[in-house]
Amino acid sequence: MHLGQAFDVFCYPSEGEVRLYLQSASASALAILKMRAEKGHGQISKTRCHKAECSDHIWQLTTDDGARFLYFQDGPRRLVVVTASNKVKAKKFRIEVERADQLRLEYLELKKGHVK
Amino acid sequence: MKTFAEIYDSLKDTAEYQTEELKLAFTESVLLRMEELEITRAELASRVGATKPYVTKLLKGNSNFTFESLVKLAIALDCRVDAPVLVPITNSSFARAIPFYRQPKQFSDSYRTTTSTPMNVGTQNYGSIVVPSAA
Repeated sequence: MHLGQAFDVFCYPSEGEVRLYLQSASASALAILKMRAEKGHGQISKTRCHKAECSDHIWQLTTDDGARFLYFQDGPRRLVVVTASNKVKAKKFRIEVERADQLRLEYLELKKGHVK
Repeated sequence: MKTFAEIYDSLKDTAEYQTEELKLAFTESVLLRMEELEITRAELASRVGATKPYVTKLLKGNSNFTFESLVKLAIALDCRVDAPVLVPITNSSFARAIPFYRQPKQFSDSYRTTTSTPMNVGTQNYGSIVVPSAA
């Protein structure tokens, strides 16, 4: 990643919770999503952006007031946000990460089908 | 249902959003510098002559910063604060839209930001705080 690199940000699935969440999201949640779209992993502190535990592909973006976005990177410039929520307990969060992994696979399958 | 661009457009010029963006930019630059120097919040607290909860509170953006507290944090991290200045609002370069889609055929629709961060020659720029070069 280098300074000035920009990312395309998508939400998947289209009518899912991410879109609903964003409608009532706090200013800080929107601000961090915008920041992540403008910067690479190395340019955001590990406190706020790091790989989610129990997953090799899902990244976690958090705000201080508890908003959590789970996303994965599809290629060098595309971020796909699959879940968004307020802070939840660890057990429930692990389930969310598993679901995010499943959504990632579903997304890749759809993409593969489209490319064929 | 609103798109992200609509949500963002309705918020971007509000005091609440701009305050959050400023706080985020500053606290991120502090956190990145702390990671680079490998110093903990407790260590930073001792450098600024404050308690760890105070530093945590500052880094969470829960309290209104004073110029003095910004400068103290910067100095404790061997940095200086880049002067905050007013910038007239023009047409935002930020999102026109984040597409929300189910079908991959819409991959070509994209939300994109373009930023260019001017780097000061001889300095390491973390956004809000600037580290003078050693040379």
